[in-house]
Amino acid sequence: MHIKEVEVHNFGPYHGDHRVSLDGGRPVTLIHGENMRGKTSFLNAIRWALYGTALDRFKRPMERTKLVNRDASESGDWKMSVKLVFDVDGVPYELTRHIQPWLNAVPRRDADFDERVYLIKDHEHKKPEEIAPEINRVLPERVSRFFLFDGELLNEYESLLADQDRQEHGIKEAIERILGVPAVENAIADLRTGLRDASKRLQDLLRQDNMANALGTSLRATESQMETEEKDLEDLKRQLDERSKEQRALQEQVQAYATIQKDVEELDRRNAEIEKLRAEEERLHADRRDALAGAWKDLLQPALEGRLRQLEAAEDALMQQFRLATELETKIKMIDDLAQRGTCPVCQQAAPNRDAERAELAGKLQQTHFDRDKLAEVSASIRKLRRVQGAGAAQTIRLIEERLAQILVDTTHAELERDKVHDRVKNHNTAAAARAYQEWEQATKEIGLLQQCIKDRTDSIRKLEAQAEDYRRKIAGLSGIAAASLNREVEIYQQLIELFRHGVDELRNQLRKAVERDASEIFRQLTTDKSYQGLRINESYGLTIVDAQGSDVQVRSAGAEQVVALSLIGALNRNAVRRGPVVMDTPFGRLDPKHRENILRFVPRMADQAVLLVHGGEVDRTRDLACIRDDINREYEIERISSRRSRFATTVG
Amino acid sequence: MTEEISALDILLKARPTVAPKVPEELVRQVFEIEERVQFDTDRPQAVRRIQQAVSAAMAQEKIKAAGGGDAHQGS
Repeated sequence: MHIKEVEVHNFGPYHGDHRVSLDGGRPVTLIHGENMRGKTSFLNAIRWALYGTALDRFKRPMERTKLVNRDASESGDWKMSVKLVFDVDGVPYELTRHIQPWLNAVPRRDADFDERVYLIKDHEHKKPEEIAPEINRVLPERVSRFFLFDGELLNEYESLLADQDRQEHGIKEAIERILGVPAVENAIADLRTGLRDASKRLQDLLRQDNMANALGTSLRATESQMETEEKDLEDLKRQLDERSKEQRALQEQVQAYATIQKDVEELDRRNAEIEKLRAEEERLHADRRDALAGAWKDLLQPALEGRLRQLEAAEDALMQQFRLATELETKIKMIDDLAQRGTCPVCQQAAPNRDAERAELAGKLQQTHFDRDKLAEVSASIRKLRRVQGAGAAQTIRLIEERLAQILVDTTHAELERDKVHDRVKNHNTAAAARAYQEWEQATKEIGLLQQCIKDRTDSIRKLEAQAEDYRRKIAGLSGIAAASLNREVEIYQQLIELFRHGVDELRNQLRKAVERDASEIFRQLTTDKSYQGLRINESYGLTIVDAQGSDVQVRSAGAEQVVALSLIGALNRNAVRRGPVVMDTPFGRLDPKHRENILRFVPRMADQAVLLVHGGEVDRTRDLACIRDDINREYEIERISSRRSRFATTVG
Repeated sequence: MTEEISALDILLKARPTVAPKVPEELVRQVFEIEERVQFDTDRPQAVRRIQQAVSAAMAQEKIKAAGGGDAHQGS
């Protein structure tokens, strides 16, 4: 499919008629426009023309009354239309979707509008009932998300890498749809219906035979149970689809909640940090006061040092005299004790006379002149002087001042950061986000339960199938020629079911390998880190970056996530069963300049036709577009006329 | 360029071992019916058309058998 022209009338900000040509020999068309100018409305106009649905930022269908240009509707003109001119394999198509109110009254809801759709294929008008199937064949709505997408779609791909239990069911199913898996998978369900029908006819035929009849009754009961279980399975799948849609719709709010939670944690951390710094500041102020109280002692230090040294020398001398006097007194006391006892306490012999020795010791003792009071006085003076001796208060105060200055810097920084986080938290609708998160968790839990139920039900159906097959085999053994044809029919269905089951497993296996290979090749072109080997795919088509050593890269930036997602989209487009133009709204939001350049270079090879809707913050047309200048067909600028009106202006082409 | 994966080729390759008693042409027809309607939300015609294809294949077998051919061989 190649879109040649889009014509809008009163659609969104486009008041009156506007025409955008996407035709030309080159693959890329760029539509520049700042926020709120109408880029997403242009994407929605294409989607609405094809499928009759425009989506808001939460992927919910928008009401018709909100799609019609406000200036037009306020002046009473509620007519709105979009025309797409395109071709498919050289066959020209013109599709027009038009709405206007049934009555002249102001429409209030979708049902108040009359919708008309016209499709001209190869110059022939298609009948109304043929239009939707024809569009579905050209660009099926169920895979359109891979062609008509905005930056938000990239977030959905990221969820493929999440915890298995929390994986987003819808995106995996959509990927398999674009890869053509349903063609094989649906066949199994349809063949089962055929098998049941053939089996029922066979049982009706065999009713006359008692044995066959008994087996037939058992077979019927088993098949009836199977039918019930299959209906339940369909119902469970439907519920799973619905819950997955709800979960998807909540995804954005959940991400907002995660941001709030992060901010709240940051706020707590900052408050704790500030409290700790303030406590330290208070303690240091107290220490400084104490240090200042003793600071005068530092001034007396030189004089005190000299006096202290003199006193210490005097104390040493007195202590020497004290030790000598004590020694002499001890010896005199020993001689006196011996003389009093009369015998030696060790050898028990008579003690010798040591009066002369005692007299000599007493003389020496008298000469020592030891003054006990003097020693006490000197020691007391030393203690007093040591008490008034300074403890380096100046040095202590200097260190405290330095630390206090650092604390002031740290506290100011922490408070500024805290205020920023506080402002962010204040601006969040915390309650709504928390509620959305709870709903999302509930939906996720239910999805997990539904997936388990689907698995259990599928296993049960398999068992019943085996049982039914056993009955059929026994019946086939009993049956006569009349039933041979029906037995053959049953056999054909059974083998076909087995073949398509085998086929779906093998197809999935091969597709995953092909997607991994192509996504890796694209990723190596897009990434600026050339040491990466490529990407590894998981069961849900989620992709992990593989480093030079062959290990998974666990943490990756938002920009890297976007590069991986675009690699996956590129690989899916290569392996898709339907090819179409890629219309991307704001796809470069998180990318650095080098990645942006790599992706811009890749866009012309991503699809035969690519329409990029970008704002100035994403793509600077003078700086960024040089690398794909030769691939650009046309460039448009969406110009603001008023808050309710925009228009397209051609800038290049 | 990479080689395209064909679901039909996968089925036809597996047929001789997994479904030897089903004619190749019938496998092809069933797949084509499903391929055509895979993006339709409502697929009421698929079962009926498959049943028709199976009946036609059996009729073909009968004709072959009457003519002395091998009815149960894949084409």
